[in-house]
Amino acid sequence: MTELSAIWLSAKLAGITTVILLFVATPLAWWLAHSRHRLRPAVEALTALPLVMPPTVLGFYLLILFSPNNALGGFWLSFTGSTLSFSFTGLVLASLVYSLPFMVQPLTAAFSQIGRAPLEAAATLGASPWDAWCSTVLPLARSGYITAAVLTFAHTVGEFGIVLMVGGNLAGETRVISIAIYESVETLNYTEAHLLSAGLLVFSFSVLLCVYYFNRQFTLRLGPLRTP
Amino acid sequence: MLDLDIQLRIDALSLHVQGTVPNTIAALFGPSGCGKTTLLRAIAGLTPCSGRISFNDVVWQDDSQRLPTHKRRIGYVFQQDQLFAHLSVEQNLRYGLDRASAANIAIDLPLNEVVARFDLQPLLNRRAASLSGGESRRANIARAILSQPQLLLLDEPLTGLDAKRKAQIMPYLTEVTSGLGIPTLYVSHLNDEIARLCDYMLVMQRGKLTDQGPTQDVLPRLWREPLETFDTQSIESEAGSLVKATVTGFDKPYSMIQMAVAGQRLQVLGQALPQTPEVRVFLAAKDVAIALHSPKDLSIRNALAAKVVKLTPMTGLANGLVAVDMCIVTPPAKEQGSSELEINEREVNEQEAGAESPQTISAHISKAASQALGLKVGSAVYALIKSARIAALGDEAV
Repeated sequence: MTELSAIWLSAKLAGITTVILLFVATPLAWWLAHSRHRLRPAVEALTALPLVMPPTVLGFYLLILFSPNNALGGFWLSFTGSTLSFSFTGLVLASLVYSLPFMVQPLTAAFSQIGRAPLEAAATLGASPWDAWCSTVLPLARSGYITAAVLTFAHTVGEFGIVLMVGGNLAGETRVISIAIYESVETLNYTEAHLLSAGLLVFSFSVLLCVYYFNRQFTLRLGPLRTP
Repeated sequence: MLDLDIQLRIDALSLHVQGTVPNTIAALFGPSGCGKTTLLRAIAGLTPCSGRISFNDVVWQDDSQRLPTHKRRIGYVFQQDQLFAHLSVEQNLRYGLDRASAANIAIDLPLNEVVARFDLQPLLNRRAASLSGGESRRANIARAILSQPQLLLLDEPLTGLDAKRKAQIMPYLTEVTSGLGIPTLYVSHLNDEIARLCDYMLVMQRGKLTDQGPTQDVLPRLWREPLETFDTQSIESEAGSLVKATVTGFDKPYSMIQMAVAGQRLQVLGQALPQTPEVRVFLAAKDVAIALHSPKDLSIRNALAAKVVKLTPMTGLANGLVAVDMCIVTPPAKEQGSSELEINEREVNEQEAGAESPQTISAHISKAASQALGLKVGSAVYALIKSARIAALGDEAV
């Protein structure tokens, strides 16, 4: 069944992207929330870029970057023997870039709101910096993490333009749900398009419903990066 | 003993502090913005500074090394409540305690003892976020103490509480300061708090220590050489003197606490007998009047025989006032004749009291009154103080 393979691929892509971004975005969001470095606005803007750029533009540049003629693509080819473009690995890399703001922004907002005060209190109580962070900031940022993970996962599942540019349409490798829907419509296979679209709709709604239901403080929005 | 020789600069504030703080309950006093909190944070290692900090011969910081905050044996109570919102009160209390145990620090103050001292038993299972302001402050102080600190840093622990809450917290602070004997640095800008809680006092102005010494010596000096950043009015309202008194009894029907100061009787309005016999009483200079003779038919209950030691005309907004410093005279023997000035029967330490440096009282009176009375250095006077105007003592519940 092509639908099942597309669903599995989308879930795998979104899952891997979310997990990797949790680790990548945490230090970045912490830095954005607390740094007074003069480059901070630039980094902030760069991180938010995928929110406003057409996915095709981003996809185009990534495609160029992934090309074996260029440094990254060339290195990857010589290192692994396969190309980055039109591969699942390439899709993961592209998703990391594309979904970054969806992870970083809620985390930054959460970290700004928490501030440094709990860390300082923990330090005066004898906790080392790492211990202090894990025992105060991490649990205090719980709803920020839930928001960020849900947004990132859902957004990666729904990604289309950039996947088309970077991954193309290879069954079992790069053909995720959104691509499968597009192809079904192109080939006038409306039954399959209906099935996948409705599935995606129900999935998105259920995820949000669960989160809203179990976490009353949860707000799914891309709030301002810094809460006053 | 805390040895400081540090410099730091944050925005407009330039801090340069050199000094030694003895292991006692020391107040850090100064106008807002003078760098009190910054100094406390630097001592804790929360704000980086250059120079040298050592405590009881352990170097916390010098040119070659800097001990991180979590390795300094401090307890810190922040101005804003900093209980961890995701933990229960008990988990908050255990936070520092567990880490002290893990670091093989001897637990001199176990959980149950501190919980009992601070009456926290009913709150243990509550979420930190559900506590009232007063409860939260109490838990904050208890949590800091449970981390088994060698030095306690309190940053205005009574700020933001109304009078009633303050009165509720005060006994617990007394518990910390006198009961547990942990050296403490207590930031405050209120004379009254300092007078009640602190033995020693450091005065800070514009990032520098300008005066330090025992509280009863420093407090009267404060307004005589007014801090430049204070406005004169606030100095005027805060000026006063601190006297040591011995509690001799409690007059329940009149809600009056009987005390002896240098062998003379002092009556203070209060609701209960203080827990400790030795108390400190803060007498605001504006509430002290002066008479040449022992007064009769007067509502004022306290008349302390004294001798004028210094007259200082005041300037600025307080122009027209004279600050009169008087030392309290220790009565030579029981004189049956002086009926208004009964010498308390239970005051037996006359010789000892006489051996100590004389206690001083300050009064702010108008220049006109001073001239009318013909006050000069050496004049024998009576310092009149209304019982109702004397600051309530720390130990009583309100």
